[in-house]
Amino acid sequence: MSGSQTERSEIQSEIDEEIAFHLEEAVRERVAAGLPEDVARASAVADFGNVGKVRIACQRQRLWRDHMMQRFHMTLTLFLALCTGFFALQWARAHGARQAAVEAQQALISASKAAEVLRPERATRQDLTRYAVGDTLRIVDMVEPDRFHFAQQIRVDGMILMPDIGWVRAEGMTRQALSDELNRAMSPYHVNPPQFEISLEEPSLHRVPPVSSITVAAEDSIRFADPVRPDEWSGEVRVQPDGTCLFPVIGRLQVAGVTRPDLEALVRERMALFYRDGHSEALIDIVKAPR
Amino acid sequence: MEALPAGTLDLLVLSVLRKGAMHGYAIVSRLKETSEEVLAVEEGTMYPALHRMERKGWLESEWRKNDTGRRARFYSLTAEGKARLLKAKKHWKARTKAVGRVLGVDLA
Repeated sequence: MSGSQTERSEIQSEIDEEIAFHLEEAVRERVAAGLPEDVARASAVADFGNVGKVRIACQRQRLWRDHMMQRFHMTLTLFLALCTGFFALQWARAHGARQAAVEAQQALISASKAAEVLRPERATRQDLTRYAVGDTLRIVDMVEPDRFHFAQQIRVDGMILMPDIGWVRAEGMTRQALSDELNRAMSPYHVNPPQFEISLEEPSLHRVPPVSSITVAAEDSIRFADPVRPDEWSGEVRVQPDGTCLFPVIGRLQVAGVTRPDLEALVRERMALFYRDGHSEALIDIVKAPR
Repeated sequence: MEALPAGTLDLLVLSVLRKGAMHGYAIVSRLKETSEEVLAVEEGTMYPALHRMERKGWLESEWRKNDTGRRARFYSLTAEGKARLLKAKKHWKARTKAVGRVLGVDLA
């Protein structure tokens, strides 16, 4: 196999840089011709076409050996997969586009770990009545368990990431209070609102206060996803030594020293310039590099 | 503007690059300009085609600074690409002559 993880990451980074350059040149030319910048950006993206599909097509050309081996493997296993594929298709049709958005968010949140323990105190039975940084919660929708059923770890800043509603404070909340908060926040998004049952799947060994101002640093990784366009805008990038990061579509941003909420706001503002409907729900998660 | 006839993108890209190395955006602009805006390429489709032609050995690429100082990937023809261009042009001429004969029009 020719595509090691590092090689894939480098190839993807080069593809993104090439596309970002194209869009910037297109915007520059349109602005020079007298168009306002926001109109120039929207026109450049429209003329470019579907950025996500172009990225995938370029990746396939660059990693064509891996791609051919994958196709061969898929052909061999197709017969066995046929029966389960039929039932999966029935289920996927029922949950359709909604699942794509939920999976994009779950991919973003699935592997994060709490870090930076400050003044640790060992957990006691009394402490467990209120959630703390590092606790892993099991969140299930009792109305339709297939709709929401996942585990979430409370981040260093005391937040958890929920589909539809984004970041929610969980640190310091009791089980009932958090459940009521999630039910209240989710109800406008669903005809048949969920009723969440929350359980403490694994408590953090140490009870520590949340850190509100975690900032991005060089060598950290940033996971990103936009539930509005999950196929086109999701992935992970490494922060360069100069403190910048290259994102698809919106290009290179200075991210070192920026907190997660501020970075999220900045990314959403930039994304809105590139899409005609001006709407983005981009989500950002910071994965700290070991130090 | 009209969509490109099927199978002509490779020929057009190879032809544009015979004049020298260019990045993807410059190739798209040159195509539009030379065809006087008649031929339209959905700009993003250029890049998978460029990567495919590089994989086949018709093009080679390198990262360089452009005239505004920004880093860009420049593509140029290889010897194999030049041979491919000659062959494709011959084939194109033969095809258009044949179409012209059927239509009763001189397309030479």
